[in-house]
Amino acid sequence: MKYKKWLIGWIVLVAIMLTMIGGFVYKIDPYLHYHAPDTEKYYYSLDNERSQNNGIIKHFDYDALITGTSMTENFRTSEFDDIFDVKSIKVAYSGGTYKEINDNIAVALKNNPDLRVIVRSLDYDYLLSDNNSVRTDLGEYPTYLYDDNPFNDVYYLFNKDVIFSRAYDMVASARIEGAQPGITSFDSYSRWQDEYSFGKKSIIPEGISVTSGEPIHLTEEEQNIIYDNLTQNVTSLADEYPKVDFYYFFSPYSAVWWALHANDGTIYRCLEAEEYAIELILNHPNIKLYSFTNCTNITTNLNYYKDITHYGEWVNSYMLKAMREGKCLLTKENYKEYLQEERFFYTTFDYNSLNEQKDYEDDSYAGVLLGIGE
Amino acid sequence: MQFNSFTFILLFLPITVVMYFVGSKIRPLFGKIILIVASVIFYAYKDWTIFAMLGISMLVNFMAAMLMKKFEKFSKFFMLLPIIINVVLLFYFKYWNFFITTSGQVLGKECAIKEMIQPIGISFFTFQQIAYIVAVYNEEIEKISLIDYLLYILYFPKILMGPLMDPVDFSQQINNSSLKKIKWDNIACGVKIFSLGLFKKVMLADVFAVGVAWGFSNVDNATAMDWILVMLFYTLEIYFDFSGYSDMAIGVSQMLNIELPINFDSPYKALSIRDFWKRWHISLTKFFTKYIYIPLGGSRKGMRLTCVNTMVVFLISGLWHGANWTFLLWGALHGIFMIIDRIFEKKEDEVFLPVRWILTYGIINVLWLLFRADNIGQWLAILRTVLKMQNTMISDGLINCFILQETCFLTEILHLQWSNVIRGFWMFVYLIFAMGICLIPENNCKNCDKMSVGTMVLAAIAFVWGLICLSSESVFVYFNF
Repeated sequence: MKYKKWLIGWIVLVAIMLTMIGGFVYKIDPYLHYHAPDTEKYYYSLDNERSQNNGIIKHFDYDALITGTSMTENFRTSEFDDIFDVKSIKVAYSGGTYKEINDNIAVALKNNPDLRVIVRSLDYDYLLSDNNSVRTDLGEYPTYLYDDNPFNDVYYLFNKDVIFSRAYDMVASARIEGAQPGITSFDSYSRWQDEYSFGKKSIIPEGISVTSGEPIHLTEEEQNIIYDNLTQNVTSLADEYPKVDFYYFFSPYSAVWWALHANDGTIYRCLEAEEYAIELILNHPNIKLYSFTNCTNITTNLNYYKDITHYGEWVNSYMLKAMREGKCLLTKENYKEYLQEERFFYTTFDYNSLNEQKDYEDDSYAGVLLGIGE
Repeated sequence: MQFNSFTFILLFLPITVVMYFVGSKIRPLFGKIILIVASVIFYAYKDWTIFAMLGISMLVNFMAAMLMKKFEKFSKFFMLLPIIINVVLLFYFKYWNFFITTSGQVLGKECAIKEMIQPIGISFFTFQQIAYIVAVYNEEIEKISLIDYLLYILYFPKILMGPLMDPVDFSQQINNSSLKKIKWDNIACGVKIFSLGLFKKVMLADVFAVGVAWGFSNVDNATAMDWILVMLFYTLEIYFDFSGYSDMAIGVSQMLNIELPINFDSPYKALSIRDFWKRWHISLTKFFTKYIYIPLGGSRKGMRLTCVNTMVVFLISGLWHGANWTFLLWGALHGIFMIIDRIFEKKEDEVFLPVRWILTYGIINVLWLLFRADNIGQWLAILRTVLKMQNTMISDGLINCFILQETCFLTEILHLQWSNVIRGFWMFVYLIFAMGICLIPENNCKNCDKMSVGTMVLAAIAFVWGLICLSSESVFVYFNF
């Protein structure tokens, strides 16, 4: 066979195969990158936030969204829809920084003019992060799904995992008799509630020792970091979209989190950082800022937590209802009182008493106490 | 930049090949400059700062070559000086911490390890520098050209992992005007070798690597049978990894009409350790022979000195492969087996061939295991587990390493549903397939001009299959959980 003919044949064969593979991935589109899911034919598993959220944001029909870190993963959109009378999606980013979450809200607002309500968690842990910091330690970010460069889509279209473990698997599953097409519900998407146990044994199995560290206060430099972070990643979108309601809330971390900060003296820095953040945010009328940190019946009961910060779904439900009813809402009038109360409680609380707590035999009892579940 | 990346395959390679021939058509010098620029981009794609060390090394060596020509009376000095500098730099970057740690252990002191970034490809470009300096000293290179020198050292298909190439051969090819035009036969052969090399790397080496990684992360739990398999898998991994890379390098270079030396010639068909070293990493063996073994006297000064020279070469070879006692012992054992082969050469010829093959392959396997082990103690512990043969079960973890994303697809299109009841089916398919490739066909490079519809389809499938392995799903691990 002549070399030229061989080469032309090779090119044609490769082109045909790559077109077929790329076309196949485009048609099924497991990451929802190109179009809305074909839920009449295939079942779409939502299980990879960084790869699928961007597609959900761009191609779904919704007028409200829940976003944030793992603090929002146990929210149920069905509950949110009922309480707020909206049609919502949930796009959480485990461990996401303020920037990452804000960038994705910006995409949602740009692509969906119907969007009118946004619920978002604000983690204390990331208040002092650089305004441009993103988590590079979690895995390789699929940036090719987020930009407008069609050429780097090869990473998606010619991706063995996507081709075989996603697209082919969806087609094969659809062929099984009795298979139901559809999509993972947003109630289940990202939800981790059932994967963990809650209570003192999970959080501080060895107990907690209490010391009192030298007080560390917020510096001017740190204040500038907070300013840059919040201005860029929290308040700017609210100014840009004045008709959208932003429901932002400080996630209620457990008393153990406060204890650790009390031990090393950084509790004062945390409180001062929060105060400064609140003052910055309250200047924006379309942001409704909530804090549940003073719900000490929650934060001091370790049965609501699986670790020092992550609370169970009962707390998510409680917060949704509270936000709708305007409970725990911070205003220019009440925030000083809130801060005073918070400061007094967490700097004087007897953290040793946490060691005496008993775990509930059934984790769900924690919900009953909050009036959630049975 | 890596050969096995979208950026290289879909962007860098086609652009470089087209620009090289267009540049060469305008003026041969332009073609060379284009290749130098492309090579710098290739080398420093991820981090430009790593080019600094290579830049300094090139400056020193080229200056020495110039001075050697200018001051012929001191040519020996200007030959030795850069060689010493090259070796010292290699020692510093690659072996300093090993030296410090070992000295500390001997002296019973704790010595601080120096944090440093090892320039990529240092082991290879150091040897290329030495080869160039010696060629200038021996007057094999008559006219020194900066462009030719830069291109010889930087030439992207070989800069990171070889094959090591003779500077005279390279110079002749790069200055051959008949090789400045596009040659479809070379493009086709290059594409074929590259496609098969890509498949070897990403579909064979990388899959066996998962099995091997499983073994070494379960050292205490793996059974004797697990270790026998892991040993076989590593033998296959290292071959497909390195020979796959070499094939890609040779293929890419062939597209540019530069023939790189063959690096692997079906090494696992070897019938003795001497035979193995004639087939494994051939360009390195040739380098050691030319620059160490022969200057030491080679085999011309009696059996005793031949044995000593062989041991010296293999100890250096062991150390060159890595800074660890395992590599040194690996080199020493290979040296010993080389000597045994030399002494009993005639008697070995009388042994039944399959027995010779099994013995040779067995030794190679056991020594590769040492090469891979974290330390000699671990290697011995694994060998003890194998020899005791107390547990012949194959662990599920190891078997599951070979359940690939495409397994369901292949099961369906090949109607292999019956195989679902056979435990470890895909692992053994993989093993048999890989061994078949090692033992049955001729080497890719030797076969490269066989152009049939079959090879076209095979190369196209290998390329596409290899290409789709270059991207994987991003999985995020939230460490708080």
